[in-house]
Amino acid sequence: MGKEIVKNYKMHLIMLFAVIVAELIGAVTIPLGDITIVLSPLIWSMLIGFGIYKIKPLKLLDEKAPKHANAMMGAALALLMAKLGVTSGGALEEIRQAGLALVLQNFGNIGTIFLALPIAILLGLGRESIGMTHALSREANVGLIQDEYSADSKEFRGVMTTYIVGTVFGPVLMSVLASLIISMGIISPLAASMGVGAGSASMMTAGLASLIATYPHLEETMTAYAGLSNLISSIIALPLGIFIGLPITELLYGKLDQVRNKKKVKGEV
Amino acid sequence: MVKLKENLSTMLATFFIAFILSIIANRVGYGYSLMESLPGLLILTGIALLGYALSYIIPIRAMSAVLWISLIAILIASPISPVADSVLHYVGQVHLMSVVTPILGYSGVIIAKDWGAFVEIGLKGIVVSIFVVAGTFLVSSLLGEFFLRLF
Repeated sequence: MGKEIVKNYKMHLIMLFAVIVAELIGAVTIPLGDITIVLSPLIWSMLIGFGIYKIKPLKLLDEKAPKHANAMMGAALALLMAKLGVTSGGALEEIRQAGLALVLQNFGNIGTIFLALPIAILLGLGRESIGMTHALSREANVGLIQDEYSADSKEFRGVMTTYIVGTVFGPVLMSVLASLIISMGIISPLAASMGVGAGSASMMTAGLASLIATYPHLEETMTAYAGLSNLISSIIALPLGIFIGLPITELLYGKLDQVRNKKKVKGEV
Repeated sequence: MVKLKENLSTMLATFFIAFILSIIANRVGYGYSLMESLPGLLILTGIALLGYALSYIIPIRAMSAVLWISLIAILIASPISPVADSVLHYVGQVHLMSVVTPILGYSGVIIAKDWGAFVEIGLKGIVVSIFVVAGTFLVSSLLGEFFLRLF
């Protein structure tokens, strides 16, 4: 297939254009009252790729393009995995010093399965829900799902949905959540700082800002805890997803789907 | 091994194109020159190709290509690696987003093809995504609270 992919040079030239335009636009910040939404270059390049395929009259991309795009994503995601891995390897010493509490706490990142998967099933979603809820979808999870199920699968559509929604609205969401949980008083500021580290760097920054607004005197400690938690969560994202998250999600999905189908037969739903 | 040979041309073609796109993104978006990006991206490509090769040569079901790649990358940059310093220096000159932006470009094409299916997910997907973020934050914070009190 290699030759065929190279022959589809039109698509790669379009991608070159998309990447250059996206990076030239850069990150755009939209303020919404107290909170802000940041649209980074990755959103622009996605919109350009999307738009050019959708505008059929131009005929710039043929029906083979998605198949080749799938193969291209495999390679580009492999580069991304290597980059994330190198960053992780360089941070191992920091993590060793961070202590057990921070490391163990990050296993909580898969706890979301038990909350989000039942909701996805109740809403009537199919295997998309596996990609959506097996973890907080970050780059490593997109790579994992593409590798495991291919970019043509329902699972992949699920992970892309949560990745994009999370990238655009995650920071806003995290800042609101952090304020909420702090005002409820069940979680200490340090534990909440560990929690905001579970997402992407921009989610962490937004969540941390809310925490600092409430506890300005703890700024340094909270920033350190959030940063370390963020680092650890990005390092364990892949093994956690492969060995624990995905198997649990698959198992739970199977069970819940059975229950759903039985109810359908009985006519209860 | 057979599978490796079958896929070799695809791998070389796709990695070559991804390589070029990342170099350009790294230049336009983050100001690294060609010579600054080149060594880091060559290291990353090397790790990625080695990971793929190992996943074909050593048939362990649980060890997928991405896991091999991740493992090699972590080892080569960890304190036990003799080349860790230079690997970290050169790979540090490749901005994370210059690898991500091309991926999302191609994903845009796939999303456009499957747009009907995405529309079907639609609002439900947004609702579930919110619960995914909320659930991750809540459980992680609660566990953090638990371990802080434990230790």
